[in-house]
Amino acid sequence: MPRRPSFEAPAQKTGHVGEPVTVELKGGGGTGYVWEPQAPLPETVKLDKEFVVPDPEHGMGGMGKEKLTFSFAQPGHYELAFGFVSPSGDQIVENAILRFEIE
Amino acid sequence: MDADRINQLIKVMGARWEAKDTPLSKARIAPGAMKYMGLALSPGEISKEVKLAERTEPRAVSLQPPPPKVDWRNNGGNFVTPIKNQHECGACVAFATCAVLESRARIAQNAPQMNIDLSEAHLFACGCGNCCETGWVNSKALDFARRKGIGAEIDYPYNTMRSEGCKPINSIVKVRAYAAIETLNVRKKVVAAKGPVSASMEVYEDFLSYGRGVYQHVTGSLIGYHAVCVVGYDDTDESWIVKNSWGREWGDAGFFRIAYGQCGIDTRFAFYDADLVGIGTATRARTRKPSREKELEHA
Repeated sequence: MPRRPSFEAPAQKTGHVGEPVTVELKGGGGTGYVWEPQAPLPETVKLDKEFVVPDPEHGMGGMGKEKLTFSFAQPGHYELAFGFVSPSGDQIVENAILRFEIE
Repeated sequence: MDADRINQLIKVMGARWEAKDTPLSKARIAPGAMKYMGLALSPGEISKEVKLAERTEPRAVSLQPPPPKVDWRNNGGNFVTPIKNQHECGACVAFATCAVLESRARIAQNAPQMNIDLSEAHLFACGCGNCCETGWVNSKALDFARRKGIGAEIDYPYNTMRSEGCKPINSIVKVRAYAAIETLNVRKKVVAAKGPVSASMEVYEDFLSYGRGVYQHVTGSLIGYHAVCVVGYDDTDESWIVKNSWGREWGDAGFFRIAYGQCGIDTRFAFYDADLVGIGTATRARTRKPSREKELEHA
């Protein structure tokens, strides 16, 4: 397996109840790897996923970006664990803890 | 994505495939908690492929109509080499290209048991460079295979690619010529008469949950573009039979079927045909299987 690229976890994000907070992570593109929560999200947290896909004219299999936009129904400190998961779902090759301070 | 939800949509839409849960997906994703949206940058037309096809598409592979079904996994023997895994590197082009050339070598020798394992790392790292994040282009991979050839996996294993970069090794196969193919009928004729070809497609989220059957996109966003190796087709269910590079655990033991025209496979991207010429400098063959070197010399 190729060496894993280093991954810098995003810094803590701040926001307000009901407002969207977006975190951008590298994408998996044609590798089929995607970011998934490692445990069911709390009921007070909603997540919208968007994929930024590179133009195929520049290359098949390009990774692109994943944009995770959260909204929180309650204030507080949140730590959400995400994994970069293989398409067969049997491997997590990277982990990211996303931290939010919501007022 | 939740396989139950996808299977409900498949039923509603009358699609002919079945989603399966992955070992982790069911446990982690709370239904309703995640909403999937797409943000695909509008891709440009693949004009280069069209132009290449106009120049190179074989005009007379056969005057006969193509047979209704071909599967090179069972076509007087299994001419398709084992499923591999590209892992989290955008090297699908190298995997698709090597898969095509491995099969073509077996077919050329009429030797379905031929032990040939080409080095995707050699092709990808020396042909494209440090391209895991950007991906590559099918025609460029074939052009590298034509100019430089591709060495053996044993001489440059994929799991050492990130640390070794481009490692020059002796080539064991070379491409004599390649061609882009646009039209459906010619695609089938080439697959039937000559063997597997490389192709490209759009990948949507529901494709990750593919289990079996004839895939068509029913839900989820576009997540990327992917190169694959078409190993056959079946007119009865109007599908291509495809070898993926996501490991044996994914899909139908690493393979899938996709309906004609789905995910841009026939409408946006060319298929690539390649003619092989063997060269006899395989260190792999010297070290382990001397009899194979002769087979490849004459491929």
